[in-house]
Amino acid sequence: MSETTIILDNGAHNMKVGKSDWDAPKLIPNSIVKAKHERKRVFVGHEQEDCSEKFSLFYVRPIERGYVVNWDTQQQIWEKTFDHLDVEPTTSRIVYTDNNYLIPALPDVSNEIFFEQFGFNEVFKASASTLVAEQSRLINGRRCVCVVDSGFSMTTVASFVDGMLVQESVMRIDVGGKALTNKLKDWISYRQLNVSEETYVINECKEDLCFVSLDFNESMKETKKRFDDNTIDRRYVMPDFHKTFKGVVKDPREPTDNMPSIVLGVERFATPEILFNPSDIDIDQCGVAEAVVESIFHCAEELRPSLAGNIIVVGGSTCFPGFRERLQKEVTSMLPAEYRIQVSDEVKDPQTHAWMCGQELVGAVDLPFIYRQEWDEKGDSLEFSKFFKTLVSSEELKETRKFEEQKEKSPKEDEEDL
Amino acid sequence: MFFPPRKSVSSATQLRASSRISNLEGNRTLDENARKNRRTRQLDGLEQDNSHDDPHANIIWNKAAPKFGDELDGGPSSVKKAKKGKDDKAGPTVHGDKARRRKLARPEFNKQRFKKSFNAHVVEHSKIIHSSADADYRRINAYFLSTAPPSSKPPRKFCAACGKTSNYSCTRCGARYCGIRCRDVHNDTRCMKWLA
Repeated sequence: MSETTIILDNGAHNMKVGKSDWDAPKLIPNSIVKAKHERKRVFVGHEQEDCSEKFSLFYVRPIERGYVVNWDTQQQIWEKTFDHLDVEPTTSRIVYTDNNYLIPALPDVSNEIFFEQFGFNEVFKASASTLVAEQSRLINGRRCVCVVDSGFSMTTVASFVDGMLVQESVMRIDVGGKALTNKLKDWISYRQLNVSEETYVINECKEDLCFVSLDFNESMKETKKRFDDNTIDRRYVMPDFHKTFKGVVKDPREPTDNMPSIVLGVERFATPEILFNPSDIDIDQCGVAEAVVESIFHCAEELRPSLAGNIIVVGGSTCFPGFRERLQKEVTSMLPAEYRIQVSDEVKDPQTHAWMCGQELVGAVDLPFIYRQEWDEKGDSLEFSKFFKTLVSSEELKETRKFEEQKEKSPKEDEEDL
Repeated sequence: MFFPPRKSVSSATQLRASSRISNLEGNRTLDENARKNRRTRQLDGLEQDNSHDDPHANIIWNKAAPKFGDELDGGPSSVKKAKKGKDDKAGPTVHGDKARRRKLARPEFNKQRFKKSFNAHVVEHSKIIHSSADADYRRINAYFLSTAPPSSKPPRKFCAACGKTSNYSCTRCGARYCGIRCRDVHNDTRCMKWLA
């Protein structure tokens, strides 16, 4: 039976979707957009290309903090997307990524939608990190992987051993691309020009100008210099969506021709810095590098060196120049000197890497798809146990969780512990 | 007989009023709690998709245009409301008609406003998992357990006005600033003015 396989990496900002025999996935915005100038229609998913004036766009997103919350919206976007890409669900199977298989937190009704509404024949689900880890194990032969996935709504670090997730090692930091863009918007709106409605423009500005500083204090010194000595300041001339459709980066000393523009100095590296130090904006969580170390330390001691030797970085927010180098540097400074730390440089495009891994896996191994028949017989009950593979039967973990439950019931004990 | 006491009362209120105002202006500081509330409000703001209202929320359709467009626009929720609207029509007053239109025009707004917060979703779902007969222990409180621990390094301090390193903080609201210039900017714009 010749079946097409659709791979859908359902990101909060961009979905990465495509058939398994394509060279690369299509990036399609996972949102519905309403524009001020166009009152008669809304732009769903890929239709956002037709939206000519991207001023004060209003976004309706199905995903909040990494989880699909608004299934109606999500289904609407999927429908348009499958239409657009000429996908015929009834003769296809789908590989789908969902955070619930990394951190199970919310109900997941995607099965119902895929089988009942669209009529797919087979469904396989995993978290994006799992796909990356499996690819590293099965294709590159590395048994231990530490995956850092910094996406639009959150950053997760997870350690995998032999394709199994070590659940205690999952670290979630509530900082992602959305928080960074919003923070940058805040700063610019307060310091220069009110851009609080221009999410689209500022997001592009962030992508074009921000970088991860290898030495934060040094960059800070640099940004305090004035005039010609300052190598950090850049002017960003905003697009007007008549003649220019993308912002232009200029030297701050060049004339601006009366176009609205902003000058970024300290913001250029302070924005991505939030990923490494969330405490800079009063989030009481540790940064990516510390989370990696923490995650590795939650695994058995014998595994730690090989985990540290295979750190893979994926996700849109890791596209900032210097991210990998900084991570390598910070992690090295925190782990024992005899470990050989390697942040993998094989990832070509962090945004689509999980999709590419999915594609390689579909070609190379038999993934445990659920078949329609199985779904009809057993329904939702089987899927979780099938896709959520964690290491260690961990009676111990079971006990600790029970203990914690009890603690919750009697808060007094809790206080004594503190 | 009432005359003398009345006078004294009026002078007392004047005194009290002026002292209250001077208190407000000069010495009021935010306590730790208020500062914390402010911080959490700011952090919640970071997860917002839009900082402005839905531009399509208040579209008033052309009076001449047929009304069925309204039902298509809002989905099932507006259909329900449309039915209610018809009942209203039984007593056709100008006011009732207007109210109906307003209701129909803003389905998205209502959705946003009555949406549950994300944490409420998580808590609710974890309760369901708890109470299910054969709970998979791996799913219990997974979201909260996976939260990254606080950093071991002390937080760094940055000027709220210019973003550079700061050594001082505002005595009233606790915001950081780096020098006299940034302090003045802060006092003129943001200090104490975020208390909504």
